[in-house]
Amino acid sequence: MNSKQNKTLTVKDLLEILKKEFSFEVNLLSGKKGLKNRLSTLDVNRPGVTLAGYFKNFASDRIQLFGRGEFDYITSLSNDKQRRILEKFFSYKIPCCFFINNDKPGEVFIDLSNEAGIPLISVNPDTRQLNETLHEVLEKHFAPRSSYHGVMVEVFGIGVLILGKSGVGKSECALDLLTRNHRLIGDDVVIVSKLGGSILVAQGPELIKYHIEIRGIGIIDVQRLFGVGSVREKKRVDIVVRLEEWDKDKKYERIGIDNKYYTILGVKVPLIEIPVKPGRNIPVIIETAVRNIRLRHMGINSSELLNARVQDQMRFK
Amino acid sequence: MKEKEIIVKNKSGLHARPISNFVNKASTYKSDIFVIKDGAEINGKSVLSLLTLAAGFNTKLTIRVTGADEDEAVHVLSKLLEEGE
Repeated sequence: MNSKQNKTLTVKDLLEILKKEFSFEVNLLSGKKGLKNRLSTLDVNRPGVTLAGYFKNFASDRIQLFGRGEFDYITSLSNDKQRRILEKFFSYKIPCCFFINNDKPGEVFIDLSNEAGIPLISVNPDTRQLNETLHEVLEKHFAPRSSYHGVMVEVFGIGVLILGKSGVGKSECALDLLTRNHRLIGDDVVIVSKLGGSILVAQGPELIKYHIEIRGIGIIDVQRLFGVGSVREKKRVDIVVRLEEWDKDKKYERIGIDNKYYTILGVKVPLIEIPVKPGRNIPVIIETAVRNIRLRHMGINSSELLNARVQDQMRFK
Repeated sequence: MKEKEIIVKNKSGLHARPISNFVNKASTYKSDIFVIKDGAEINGKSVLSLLTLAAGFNTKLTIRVTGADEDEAVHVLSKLLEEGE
């Protein structure tokens, strides 16, 4: 495992994304110099109290969003008052300011932002929509992530991250699962991001997307060989399966009462350790493990139920 | 643990063939082998992982080997990474 550094995101990049991916009408009103400003946090600030003159704890490193309230307040002020407050406002290193519903601030605002090199951007959606979209884009970008050497597959709708040493048969296992109509997300390098504090989402690197390496054949293109239904771009990591060479001294789970976990980016994910040895059909074992987990999600725990039956039997004797 | 910094001298960069030679050799060692570029650690025994490096001519890489045969491995593999064609 290793942590990946996130690429930098500039105001210009953000505007491109809003235009291309969300079809927003984006108008750059001023502060073109500041398009290279880097965004450094996923939070967005509503500068309400700041505009009223309270600069303590001003979150100036965030995008500043002028909603209806902020916009009406600042435009209601006389030019002198606007200038006084905005000079102070723009003395901070702000990445950029957003206005909603195609709002356009007055001349004083535009001039001061040009001087400070802070972009003013007007977009068509309302505050809620803009806020949600900004949050989505920024979270995707700033989410903590790390990469794993393993295979990510979707089995019966459950996201399974298969880990194990080189040569233990992870890719072969994925191939077998593909022929059983399950889906591939990524092979060899799996990038896991943490969204919303506890949701782990895995995907493969763009460059080698949907390719797997099979010893003896080489690199194959899964999407072309097995069809578009056999691949998936991203998937939540629901369980981790660790394949390991059979160790006769190690105790493997025999009943299924003790739960093990694997920690990814601080989030605990159910872990299943599967010993590999000739004669054990790993894909079928993984399929079965997933069926069992789905059953548990539905509230039925086979091993606990069986144990309860045994205990009942003893009680009535 | 043994580490060595190298610079890719192959004019066409680390494409499929040099990587395949590297992985074949790396897989003969018991040690764990990682290639590091810009802080990202890549498993040195996996062809696909190494391809994601897209390491062109003059790229700076670090090779990190940990295990019983690390001395020999780091010596042989750093050469392959640097001069492999």
